[in-house]
Amino acid sequence: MRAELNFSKRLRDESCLSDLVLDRLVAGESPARPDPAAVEQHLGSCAVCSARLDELRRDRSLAAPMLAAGRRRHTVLRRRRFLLAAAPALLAAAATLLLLLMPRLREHLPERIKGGGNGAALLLDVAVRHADGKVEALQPGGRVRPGDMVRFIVSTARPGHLVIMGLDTAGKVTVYVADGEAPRAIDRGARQVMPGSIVLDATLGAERLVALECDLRFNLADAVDAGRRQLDRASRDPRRTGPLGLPGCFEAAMVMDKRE
Amino acid sequence: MDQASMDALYRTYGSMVLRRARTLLGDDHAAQDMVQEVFMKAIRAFPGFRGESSLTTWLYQVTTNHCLNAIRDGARRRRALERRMPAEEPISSSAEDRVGVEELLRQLPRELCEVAIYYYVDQMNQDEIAELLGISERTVRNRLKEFREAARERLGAPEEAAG
Repeated sequence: MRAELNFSKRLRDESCLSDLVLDRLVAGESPARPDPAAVEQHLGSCAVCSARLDELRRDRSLAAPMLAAGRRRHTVLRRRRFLLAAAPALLAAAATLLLLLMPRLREHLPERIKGGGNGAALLLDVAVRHADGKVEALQPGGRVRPGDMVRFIVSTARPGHLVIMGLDTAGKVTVYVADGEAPRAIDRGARQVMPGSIVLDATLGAERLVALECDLRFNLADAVDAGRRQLDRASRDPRRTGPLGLPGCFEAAMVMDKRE
Repeated sequence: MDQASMDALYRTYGSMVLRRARTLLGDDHAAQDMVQEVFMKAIRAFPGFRGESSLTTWLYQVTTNHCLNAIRDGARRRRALERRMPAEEPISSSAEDRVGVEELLRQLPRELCEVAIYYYVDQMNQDEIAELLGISERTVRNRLKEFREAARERLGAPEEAAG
């Protein structure tokens, strides 16, 4: 089946039939030149061409496994090539989608853990008592109504100083948990329920609840100012507000959606 | 082209393309890949196929062109590889011949190589080659002469009288 690549001499005389003519016969095509009768006549009288035609016909069945193997390998390669070729486009599409969805993701993804680089963490959970008496854990972006009561539950991996604030669509920063005019001291521990309940006011729309815990005592006004700045930067959209970014502090946040 | 037509095309012409690719490339895997490349091109080109030549003739040309591209590209890559990793094992004489032939196909003008392939590999006569390539028989004769001279110079191939 395999022929050496030989450019020093021909295997058949020029008066013989070429492989092209014989291949056309094998494929069931009718060669225009030489005319079919002449081809037939030559094959009847030339043992070399007749043997070559038989060889090409045998080739056809012998080649089937090799062709199948090549086809299988090619299918795998094409899939790989497709994936490789498509990877940049897919990544770009994913990045675009992520950017487009970021405000909504911020709204719906929990932001209960934010910390510094030392492995410490701060978690904020919010329990809501609705007007009908039903109590449930607030989900990120969860719906509440004016008049609902909320309680804050904090988990922290280190002792520190804590404040919990609300940033609303009116651009207002409300301190919910503190110790008078100072942050509240908190011990290390899980699911620490903060004293007191907050009754939600009539301001409708999204409100971002932010827990800020710092290792050192800090000025509460600084935290409030930082909250206002972030609200202003986000055009008073609490869903798009970034972290307060105070040094040495951990943050946890959750957005609630207050509607009638 | 639907799957059934593709399968039929493959069944009818696959062995022919594979045989020529194996002869020209001297490597089974490369030949199998070449069959896929040729058929991918055939499938893409099929809607515009005007039937001015037979499919066999057209596939002959496509295979020749693709194999010449592969040989030229392969020679370039091999040289780059050899520069980095000098061969420690002696090369067999048949491998040397093969490399010599590939070098010839890489170095000589493409139109000379095409004519030589059709003449020596596919056993076409000169008027058949002229018709296939759309050139005069005289041009075919001249190209063959030029190819022979170059081959003799590089490979020491014996002189053969033009037919």
